[in-house]
Amino acid sequence: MTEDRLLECLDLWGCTLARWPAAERTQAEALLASSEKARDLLTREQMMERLLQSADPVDMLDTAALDRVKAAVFASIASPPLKQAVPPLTVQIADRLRRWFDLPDPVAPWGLRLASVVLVAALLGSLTARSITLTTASSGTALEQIAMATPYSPLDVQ
Amino acid sequence: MTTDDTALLAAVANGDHGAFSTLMDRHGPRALALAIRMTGTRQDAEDIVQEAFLRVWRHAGRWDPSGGARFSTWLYRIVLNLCLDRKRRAPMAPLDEIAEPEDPSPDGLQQYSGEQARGLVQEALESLPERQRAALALCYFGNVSGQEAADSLEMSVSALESLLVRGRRALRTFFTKRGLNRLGDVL
Repeated sequence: MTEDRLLECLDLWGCTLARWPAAERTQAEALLASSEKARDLLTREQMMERLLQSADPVDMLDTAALDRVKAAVFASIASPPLKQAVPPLTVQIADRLRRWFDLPDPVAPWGLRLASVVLVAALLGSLTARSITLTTASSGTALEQIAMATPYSPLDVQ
Repeated sequence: MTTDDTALLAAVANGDHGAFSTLMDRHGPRALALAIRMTGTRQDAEDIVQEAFLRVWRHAGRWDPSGGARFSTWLYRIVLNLCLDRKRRAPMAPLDEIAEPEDPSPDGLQQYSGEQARGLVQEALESLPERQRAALALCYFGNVSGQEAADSLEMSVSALESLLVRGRRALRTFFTKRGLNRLGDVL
């Protein structure tokens, strides 16, 4: 183990070597026995941990803190908790679709909305195109139909 | 015999105040510790944990322990989200209320003790990005297992480890700038 690796391990698991994985702990102990730089690194990290622990904000909590929280919570709960509510049918369908498409939950409403818009647009486009094609194949274009529907007048012939 | 959290939650879902009280006794201290490490103030921490338990009460019937989910993970997630929400809503302090920078000279730390040390630590924690602070608050201070902390933060264990490493490095840089080498003199 190098000093850099020792620092990485300290960053990951802290200064209590007993909490490290066994393999890393053994290597670190060997390095600490042979390297003064490694010992200095550990000493500095221990200082930082002592400072953090000596000034842990948890010390600001008194023993009555939880009692105050509980009293406030019980004062607020006048009604029994919500039962497992059966969601509306639309939500059930949306949820089933989401699971089919394997969409993550927060994305699902947007994904479904987008998919719905694309689906409806595609459907409308397809129907419109089919309608125009059928009209054209059987009886000519819309302009031709209009022209044919307009009766000739004597004036036009002249 | 100790009733497990799932059984307590089932009782809470039926409106059992006694079960709810037991649940709060069991998990309240850790939730408070997490909240105060995130917010830095006792009042905010108590308000957040109160709101978190109210949500537990309201939604206990929706708790689904399948897949090995733990109540504590759910509770920590609620607390963390409330802490982050509160932080985002907090108004910016006017410039004249912001404290002068600390003395960066190596000897500057000799004057720290008690409240000042706590202020320095709080300043160091607040200098971290929120998720790094949450990771440190859970794992480093809170003694929560890596897997449970990762679940609470909704990330993989490797992503959590990355946050821990970056958070601790940032703390080291912060303290080094303020004369970490002399900390031994004041502790």
